[in-house]
Amino acid sequence: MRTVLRLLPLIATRRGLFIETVVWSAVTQTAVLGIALGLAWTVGHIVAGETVSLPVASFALPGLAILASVTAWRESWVSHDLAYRLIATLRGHVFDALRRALPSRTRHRRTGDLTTTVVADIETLEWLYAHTAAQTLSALLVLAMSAAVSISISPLLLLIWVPLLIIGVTVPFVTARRARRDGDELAHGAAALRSELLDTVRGLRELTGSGALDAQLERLTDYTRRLARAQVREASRLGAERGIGDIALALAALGAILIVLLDRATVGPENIPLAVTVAVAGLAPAAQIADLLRNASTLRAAAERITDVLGQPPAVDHRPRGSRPERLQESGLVFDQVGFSYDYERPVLKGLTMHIRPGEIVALTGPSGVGKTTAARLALRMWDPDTGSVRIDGTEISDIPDKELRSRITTVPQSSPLLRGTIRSNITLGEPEAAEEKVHEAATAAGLFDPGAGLPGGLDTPVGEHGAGLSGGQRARVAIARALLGNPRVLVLDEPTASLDSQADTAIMDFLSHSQDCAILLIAHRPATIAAAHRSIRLGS
Amino acid sequence: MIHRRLLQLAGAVPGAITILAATGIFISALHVAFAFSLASVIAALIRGEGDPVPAFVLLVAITATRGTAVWGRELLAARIGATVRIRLRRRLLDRLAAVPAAERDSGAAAVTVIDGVEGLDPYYTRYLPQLLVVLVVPAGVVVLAWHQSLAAGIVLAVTTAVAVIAPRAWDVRLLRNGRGRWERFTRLSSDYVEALQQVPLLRAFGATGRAASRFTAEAEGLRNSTMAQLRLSLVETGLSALAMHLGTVLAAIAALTAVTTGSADAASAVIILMLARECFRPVQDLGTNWHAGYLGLTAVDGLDRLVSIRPASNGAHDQPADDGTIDVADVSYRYSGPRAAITELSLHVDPGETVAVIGPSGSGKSTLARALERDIDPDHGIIRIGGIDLRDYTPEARSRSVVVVPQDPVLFAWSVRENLRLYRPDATGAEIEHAAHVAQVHDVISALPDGYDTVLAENGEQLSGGQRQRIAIARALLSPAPVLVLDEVTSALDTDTERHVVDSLAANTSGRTMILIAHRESACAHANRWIALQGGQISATGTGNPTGGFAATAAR
Repeated sequence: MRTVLRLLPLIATRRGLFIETVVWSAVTQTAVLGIALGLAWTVGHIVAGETVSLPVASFALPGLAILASVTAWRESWVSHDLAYRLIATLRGHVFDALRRALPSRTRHRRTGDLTTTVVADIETLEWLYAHTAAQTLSALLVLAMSAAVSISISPLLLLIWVPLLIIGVTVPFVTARRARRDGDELAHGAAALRSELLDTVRGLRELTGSGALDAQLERLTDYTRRLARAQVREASRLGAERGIGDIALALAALGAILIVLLDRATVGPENIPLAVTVAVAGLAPAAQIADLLRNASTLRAAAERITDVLGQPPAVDHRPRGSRPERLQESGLVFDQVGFSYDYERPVLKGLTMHIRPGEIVALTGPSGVGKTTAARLALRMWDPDTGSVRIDGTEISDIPDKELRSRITTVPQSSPLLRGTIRSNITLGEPEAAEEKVHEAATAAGLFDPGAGLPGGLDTPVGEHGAGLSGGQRARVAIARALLGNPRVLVLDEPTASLDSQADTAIMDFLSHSQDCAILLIAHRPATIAAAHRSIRLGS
Repeated sequence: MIHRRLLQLAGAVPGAITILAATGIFISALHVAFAFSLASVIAALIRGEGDPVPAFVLLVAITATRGTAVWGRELLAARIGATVRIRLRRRLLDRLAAVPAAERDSGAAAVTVIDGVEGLDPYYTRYLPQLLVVLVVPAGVVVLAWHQSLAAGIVLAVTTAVAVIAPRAWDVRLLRNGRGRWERFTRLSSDYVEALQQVPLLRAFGATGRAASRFTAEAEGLRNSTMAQLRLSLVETGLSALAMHLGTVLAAIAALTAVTTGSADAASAVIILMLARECFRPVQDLGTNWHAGYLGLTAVDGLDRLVSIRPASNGAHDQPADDGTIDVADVSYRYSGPRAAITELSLHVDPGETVAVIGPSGSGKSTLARALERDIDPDHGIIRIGGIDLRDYTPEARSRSVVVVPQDPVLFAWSVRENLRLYRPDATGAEIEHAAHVAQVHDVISALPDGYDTVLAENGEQLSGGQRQRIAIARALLSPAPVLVLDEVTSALDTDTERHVVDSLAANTSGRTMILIAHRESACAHANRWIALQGGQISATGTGNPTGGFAATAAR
């Protein structure tokens, strides 16, 4: 429950809406209680043969009924407004946390898992924000009022609440462990299912081609089955609790009757309906809250997953540190005694030192898995090195504001990932407002308009998920155009031409070698590509 | 609201719905009986006449029965819901493969298959049964009330009718808005999926801030759409609540008036007081269940879209190809848009031949590879493997006849061993290791924390591009298929490793037909002959490895 409570302070950001919710909720509950008690009182007195002014009741009670409906409507409007605003805010927080924390150095959480948190887990908080927090306060108020009315009839009436309170406390206590397990299993099951489904869609070609699709669909169905079993188990627990809750409410009525039977002296006949009603009506809001709290295990599991994401450390520390001396004479990209490990134990890079001057192309070579891509990622400040420093034009990249850094250095990542949209939207990823001629220039340099590129649709060619619709070579050209767009000072190319034919490769390397003021770090395997570099550095030997 | 399409989607559920409705009616009947008995006891107590004890005992019995029935209903609903979910999700999953590659959107598919189905469950197990309950129970209660007091009966009849019917006026609009909301929800989720998969790219281009603002705007749009939806549905709820409160009050007052004028028995007022609540309870529950169930209703578009996709038909030839003959006869394929990928392409490859396919990017090489494994069907022409039209194979037999390793192979977040077993689930440990040796990836795998049992990160992210390619090669080598198509599978390898892989492939695939799609000579050193593609057509051919071919195409 503590995790859930940690998400409550968010309400403080919308204090006005919350207070309004509490007020409307209190008015509604009071009015509903007033109707129930008023009716019971009137019926009791008339049936007992006393004279009651019916016209007064005929005005007052419908008036209360209208009030209760109007305020109930208002309350649900305000509380949902509150809830969905908070949910939208929280989504923003969660995505902010993720965009700073990813890529993770050590913990590879699957996208489906993270998406479940940002989409589904957050959505479950609607209960907490719209239906639980404010309503608990007004339920307490109603409980207090009912207690006062009960005492005024007969203090003994309070006795019936004792067993009910015991039930109310012990049942959740007894089932807590099971509820916790169910909640965890449901949340994780849903996340696992989504992860596996995302992978399935991504790998549909492999799965179909290997005839393994049926087995994979069976696997997904198994996830559903496992999830369904957990849901049935949870429903059994929820159902039992709900049944007990239902019995408790009935017992409240029966208890009131019993007390009337035992204590005929204090409870007058005209007060009998009132005594029964106050026992039931006073508990109704509390029962409603209890009903919502029965889902607390789901809520708790979701809240835990959310706070876990929120607590992920950022991949790099953006806090300004004491400014380190700039080396004014230095220009280009410098790796100075850089050491790095993913698990903080086995170093991938040890004391890597290199200097790439403007106008220079340096090839970084070595067998696959030796840390070339890691070096590229450090140059792009995906992470900060454990030891040593990475500098651009004499300034530590960790001292350069992120926006500034991104305009100084761009990249063609391995296997040229693209986003959905068009070729144009992909090229302008770093600079959506880029002028048309700049985009054209970059696209031309990358050979996108060459007849050999096979792209008659030009910049408006649609791009599907993971670059679907384009061939490997076409994707590479788009990725190169995207990197060239910003006229960077440093360009990091990770096997950019691997899927290009040698002609295109030569053309692009030719273009790059004519750049006068850009320092280029090139990760390459091909002798032809490496030959285009001015010199090469071999890692791992 | 009864949605015909959704009933069809779920298959045979009417029986289940009827059972749940019967349980609901039973529980409602217990509520009514409880209210009726409680009222009798109270009336007896007020007027000091009769013995309240028998009725009290009855109340205790009803309480116990009702508690049990409530529990039973939850269990029943959960079981039926589970069945519906499993069946519906399976039906949707079966259609996934039929979505054309360019339109695939994993995030959106996940929303439909997971959240959509999850949301539909309450529609079947809560809303529809409760609809039947509402048709029966309030009418019964009205009749009971009518017996006590004519006026109260009329009041209850009118107000219940209002409470049930008034909200239906908005249902259609609610559903229409809801579909819009669901579209937004789907889009937002699918955008999150893409962004979260590509955070490194976004960060490298300083685009995460923009992505965050876009998501803020999208989340805001979703909120607005949700609130627009609620604006309607909360008015509905409010009207229902008003009818309920007023109905209860007015019915009681009507009964009391009858009592004071002496036209009704005093006990009747107590009975009406208790019964009125029961008249509205099912209606109120229907409202609650509608809110739970309409979410699923709004997902119907996505579900319908997926279910209506016609999967490509498969043949009945259930034996894999006898030999590795490839016949491509007059094949054309055009992607959506102006671009023709391959045009009237014909190619014959004898069993055991190794043919290199070269040509600039966009010349149709990868399209040919897709067509060879029937990832796409040619618009025109026939492809035969082992003399049999590809379309005549069962999927199983086809996958054992031809295997394509694509340019960017996808690895799954399973153990390395499971990944390698993709094409042959029963491969032994020795076979797996042999394939890994041939693909020159055994040492890489052995160096992983748990060796072959290391569970890969999503798409094998902890591996380098070259390592991923070699695992994909090893995976394909395990397949018994006589035809192997390798689409630039060594592009991310360094020269030495590539030579080793190519040599060991050649030494270990004798007898198999190989199509090597490549940009470079180094990838096809062992080819018997080559063809060059240009603009989707064969522009040149030659024997031996394509050194001359590369020179020829470069000269164009």
